[in-house]
Amino acid sequence: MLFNSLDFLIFFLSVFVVYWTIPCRARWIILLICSYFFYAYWNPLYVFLLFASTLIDYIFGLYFTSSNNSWKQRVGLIVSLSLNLGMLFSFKYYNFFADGINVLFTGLFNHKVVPNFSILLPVGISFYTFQSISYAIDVYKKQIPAERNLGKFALYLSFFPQLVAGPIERAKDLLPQINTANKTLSYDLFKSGLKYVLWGLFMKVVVADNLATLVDSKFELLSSRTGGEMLFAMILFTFQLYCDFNGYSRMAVGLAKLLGYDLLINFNYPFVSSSFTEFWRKWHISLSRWFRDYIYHPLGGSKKNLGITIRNTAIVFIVSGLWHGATINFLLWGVMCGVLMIIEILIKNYFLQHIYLPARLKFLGIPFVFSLFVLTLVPFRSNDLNDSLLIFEKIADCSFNELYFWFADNRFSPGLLGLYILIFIEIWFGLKLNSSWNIKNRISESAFYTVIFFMILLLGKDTGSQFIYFQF
Amino acid sequence: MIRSYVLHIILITALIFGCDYLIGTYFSFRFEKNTCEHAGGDLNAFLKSDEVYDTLIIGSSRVNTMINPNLLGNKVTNLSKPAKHFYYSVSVADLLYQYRRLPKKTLIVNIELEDVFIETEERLIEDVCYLKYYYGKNDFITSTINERGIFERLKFIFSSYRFNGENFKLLTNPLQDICDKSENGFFPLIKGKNDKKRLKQGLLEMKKLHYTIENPHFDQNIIHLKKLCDKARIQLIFIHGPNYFIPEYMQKGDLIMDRICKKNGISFINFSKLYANEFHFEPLWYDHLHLNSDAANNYTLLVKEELKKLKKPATKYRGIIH
Repeated sequence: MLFNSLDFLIFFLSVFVVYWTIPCRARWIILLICSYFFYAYWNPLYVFLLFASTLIDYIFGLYFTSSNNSWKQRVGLIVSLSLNLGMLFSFKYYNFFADGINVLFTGLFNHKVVPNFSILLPVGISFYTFQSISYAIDVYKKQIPAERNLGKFALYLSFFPQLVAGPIERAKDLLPQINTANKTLSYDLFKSGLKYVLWGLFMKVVVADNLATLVDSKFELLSSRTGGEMLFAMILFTFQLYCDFNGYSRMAVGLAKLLGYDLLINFNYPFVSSSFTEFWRKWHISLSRWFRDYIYHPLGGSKKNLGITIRNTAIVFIVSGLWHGATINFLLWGVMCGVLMIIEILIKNYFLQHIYLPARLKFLGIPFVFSLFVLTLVPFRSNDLNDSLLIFEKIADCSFNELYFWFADNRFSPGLLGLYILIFIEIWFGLKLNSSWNIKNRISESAFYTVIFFMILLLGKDTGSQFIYFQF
Repeated sequence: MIRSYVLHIILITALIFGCDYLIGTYFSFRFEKNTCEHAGGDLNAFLKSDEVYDTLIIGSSRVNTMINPNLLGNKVTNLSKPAKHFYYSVSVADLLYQYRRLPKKTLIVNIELEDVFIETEERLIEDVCYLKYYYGKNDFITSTINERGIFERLKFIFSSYRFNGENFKLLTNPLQDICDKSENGFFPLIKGKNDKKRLKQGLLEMKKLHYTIENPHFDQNIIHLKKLCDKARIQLIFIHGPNYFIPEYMQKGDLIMDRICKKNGISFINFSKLYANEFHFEPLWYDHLHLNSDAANNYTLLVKEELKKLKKPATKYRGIIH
């Protein structure tokens, strides 16, 4: 069930009405049932997988609390991590590694040694596995108490607005909200939730889905495209990806608000970043924080010497690449992002330390960071490594034939129209560094959202296309 | 407090429906006036014109770019749309029947052989959504769009939704001064240096396609079309254009089409099968699906020849079923 489908609208309206009419004590039960129904709607069998993941960390959470023996606790943590990562590996990475091993052995012994399985990737497995790992580690480190109610813990992992594509919530943020029974739906909360949903839907169905049509048309018959066309297609893809994922995240935040929950804002105007450090603080925030807290800092972070910092950065970005998908392309994407980040660290350490750069000149870095990020997305979007190399080759050619005519034909296409509005709004709010919607005037606020509503109605793609991040 | 909130909600609802009414009315006005190719203007112009045609061709871009109606005769026209397939063709025919604008003698429908498989049905239904303006005005279009889902009709609570998607060009195209004009629905593709590359890559992509299960609803739509033509007392002919390469699913699709057409007494000319060798020649192709302009004219002459043969009922030849 996709957020941009009528099925979901009917589902959510029913949940909303039932949720706010039943007694407070029973609300989490309704949410749990609905969350499992939401997941089962996609594939009923994989509900067992979600439950297994829940059960593992619920048991280990209690175990960490009850046991005082630190050695046993450590073994418990290793077992918990192994089970969680084992499930993720089996469904997401098995074939990737099997292919790698087979390539190696086919060269040596001329036959495959590891069988491949055609397994359907459980939607959202990377998200809820990371969420469940963070819970286990936090309980192990005594940062939070273990949740004793299995149902409430199950809701923490399966809360439907953020189940399939995040934000990856921490137990310390979400579990207390689940345990707070007396929630009330205020008019302001309702309005704020609705705004998030509306703006997220606009980003998804007007901008992302319409840009997808333009981008996909350029990725068909790739060999006959010019470098200019591919460069422009990649710029559009960058916005498509941003709007697709940020649209989903905003809808998730809005839907949760309508149910009285606060979720993490996943994007904070990332394209208004003058450095990669700043960019990764603003792009997919919940995942960046996860990597920071559970990989980067435990490895030593940037507190030790420069070599360790570079090593840790490289590890985080390689893992991040693989997290996105078990393909060489995602690995390459991670490596490229890591290399850019390391170059930035080196520049900061060796050059910028001795040069004073006025804050007002920092905006010069914005187009630089954006352009390089666009290039890193080439392997992210391409079907395979050959296509990635072909696109890089074409972009390097710098032949801009046909680009002008293509742009002239499409400059008022729905995707680009939506993008103009989006860029205007993003720059408006981004430059003010203000992530909240503070349109003071009631009339202009109502007019703004009415325009957005009709843009969705008139320009929105109504084919119910999937969100890009669902595949991860 | 609550009273103020309720009042606010009522006001917003009224504002939305009021705006919807205004937008819907304005777009209706623009839609009815539009006679350009975009946003269904060509179909609109055809429905409103008084000109009478003997033959009408409907199909996808393979008709737009490969059949030159002017070479087929004086009173021949083309209402094809790029990327629109069989269900769209049936919808257009149904609409023409409703508006009494079907041709006097022959309706030629180009069919793509992947359309007979269930795997493509969702896309066929999506094609009909291009005609959402006629939702509620034409039964066939309404029922086909409703097949998208049980809640589909809810979207039409808003009258502006009928102008969702392509119809927004009614506002933006005048800004660009774009009004595609064609030679009677013919958009020839001029030879270029990238043709060979496009053909090769297209063939690679085509070879990946696998369709296996026959669409059980497909023949119902053929029967519907046949009934329309019978009521209008005109001849219905299905054609399938030539292909550079004929994948397995096309061979299977050809057998299915043969069977359905035979059963319902409809003529079907498969140029892909009839002239397999003649079109297996790289310089004829713009890409893996479309002939270039020179080859298109030659193909049109072949179509003309085959249509002539069809008029002689005793003639029997390969690839055609009477």
